[in-house]
Amino acid sequence: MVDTNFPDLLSALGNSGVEIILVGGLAGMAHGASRATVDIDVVYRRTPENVRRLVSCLTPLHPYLRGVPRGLPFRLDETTIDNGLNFTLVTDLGDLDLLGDVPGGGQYENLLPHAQSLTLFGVDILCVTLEKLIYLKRAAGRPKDLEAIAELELLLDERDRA
Amino acid sequence: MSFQEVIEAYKSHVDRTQLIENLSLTPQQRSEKFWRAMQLVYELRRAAQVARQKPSPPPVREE
Repeated sequence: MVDTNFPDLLSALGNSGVEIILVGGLAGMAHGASRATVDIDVVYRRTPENVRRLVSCLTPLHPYLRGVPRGLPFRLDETTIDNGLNFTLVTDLGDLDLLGDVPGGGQYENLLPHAQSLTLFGVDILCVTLEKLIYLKRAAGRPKDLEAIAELELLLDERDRA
Repeated sequence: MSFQEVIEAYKSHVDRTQLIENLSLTPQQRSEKFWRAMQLVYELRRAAQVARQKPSPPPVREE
């Protein structure tokens, strides 16, 4: 089990020119949530050029499918990404979820109007807005997200009071 | 219980003061605070793994 090195992994992504939007637990943290998260979740743009940039960025980090036995043939290349959509990966720098499409949010282009630029770990990165993050978590409809949704809605409430 | 009822129940357990404190920080400051906390989590996890590998000491008998 690799501890996720959030600063280095986000820097690798953010400084490579890959078009991504941060979602999930780390996006919640960026907005002020206190819940811990163990991975980085990003929605990536599925243009050929961006997929090439993504592969180029991640190949040195030896990405592999998370939760499968080692030895299963897997190579994160352009063909793999084109033929798939969402990938839960482990890398040398920790766990990364590459999402081509998210419930309630669609693909990168659909999410872009609901993203804002933030600086995290010294890296400028696009992050889904707090309102949209709540919407995405509700749309996913997972019981494990209910506690997170509660915190995020209170966070929104406190932010709007200030 | 509906999803919304569960969410409302969870809200009563959320530390609002922590949220207010986090809102006073910039995203960069939040990320630094988060990373410090995660490094502690990782260290505790490693310490727990080491402790599990050590044999347990014999129980102390009271005279």
